[in-house]
Amino acid sequence: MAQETKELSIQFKDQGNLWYSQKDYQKAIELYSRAIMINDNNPTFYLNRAKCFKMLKTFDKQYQDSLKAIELDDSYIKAYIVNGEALVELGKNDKNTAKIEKGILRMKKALNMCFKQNQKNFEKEIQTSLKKAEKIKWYKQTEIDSHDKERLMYQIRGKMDNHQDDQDILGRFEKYLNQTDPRYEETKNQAREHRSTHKEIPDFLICRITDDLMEQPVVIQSGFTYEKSAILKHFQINGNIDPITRQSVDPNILIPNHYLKQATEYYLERNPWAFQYIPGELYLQYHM
Amino acid sequence: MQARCLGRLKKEAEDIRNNFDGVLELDIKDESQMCWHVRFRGAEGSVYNGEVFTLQFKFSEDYPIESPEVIFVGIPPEHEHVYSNGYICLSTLYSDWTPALKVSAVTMSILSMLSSAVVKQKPANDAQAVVWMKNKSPKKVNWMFEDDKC
Repeated sequence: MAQETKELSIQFKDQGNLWYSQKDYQKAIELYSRAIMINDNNPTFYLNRAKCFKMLKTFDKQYQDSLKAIELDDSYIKAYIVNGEALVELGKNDKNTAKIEKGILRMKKALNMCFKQNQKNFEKEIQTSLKKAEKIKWYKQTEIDSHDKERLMYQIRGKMDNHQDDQDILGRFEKYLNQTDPRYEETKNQAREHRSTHKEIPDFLICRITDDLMEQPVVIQSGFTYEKSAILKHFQINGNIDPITRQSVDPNILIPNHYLKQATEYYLERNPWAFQYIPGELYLQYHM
Repeated sequence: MQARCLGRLKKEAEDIRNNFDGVLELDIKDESQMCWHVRFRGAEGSVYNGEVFTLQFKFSEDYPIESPEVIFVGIPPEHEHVYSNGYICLSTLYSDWTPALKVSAVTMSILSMLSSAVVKQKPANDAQAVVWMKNKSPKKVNWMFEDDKC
């Protein structure tokens, strides 16, 4: 009997996976829930349901289910990732960055477990999630800072009412605040709209094909650097010419640009917003 | 691949809005962003002075590695390299396409192609060509690029 119910629950899960791949997440949730009703000891059932909640942007349920999966199996790498992602999403609406930071810790733990379990396949996925999370944290922190400063200015201004001399001091103080943190002026309005203002990423870090930072920068014969997958596809479709100069090149010469990769990582650490950056993006709509 | 193409298109849209304000007017036709209309005015001092033209860009998922399909919609300009069905004979749109080009660069080069014309004149084989180009994507037409302006 026990064996039979176990098989039945697996059947429900498999059907759920089918609906998931069809992108019908409601139906998939229904089937995973049935599987859980029969057998509530299988972490995969919970994690798969959590992933459906992620797709439906029901982040509190995503959090609960992925946490349950961790409780059932504390070496479940994937569950740590999904749980961390839920925390970051939930943290967007908080007044501090605590939840986001907790989410980042979960992902770092998952990364550590990858090394320990020697599971390379999740590594890239976690790195991407971490960069997205750092970006969201940057936006949140910027929003908090500018709210704090605005509130501070408002309070001081109230206390200094009608004192012309003090107003001058106040003006100088505000100028000082702007100088010490260049983000302040720029983010005053942005914080209200949750919209980024225009920022520039240096051209030398950008692939001219993808118009984005490079994951795998490679130098080709012309001396220019491109994203590896993009330049390979370009050779295949448009022939063996450099996209910028149009000169003929040998498509077999592709040299990994390690220093540019390092420069990109260095730049991203200091400018987390630059990851997958699109001018005018709304950070609340930027999802994990 | 899909995500890459959309990311670049969003950046290009932002670039046109920020850096070509008053020159190019962008109208994104469908929600998936794969079809754009770009309106511009014939240059002052050219034979098209003040006339308004609309280019239609259709992007594939492999854009920008694969070239966009670019034609005039509405009334096309009377030009020796523009057919009355809106098809444009310009090598950068076909064999000379490179992914370093953008919508703004393509539009500006078409604008400059128009500006260098001294007379309004349809292509010599216009009527005949339009018949055999029927139901054919401009990217599938065997273009003969006759001169360096083309």
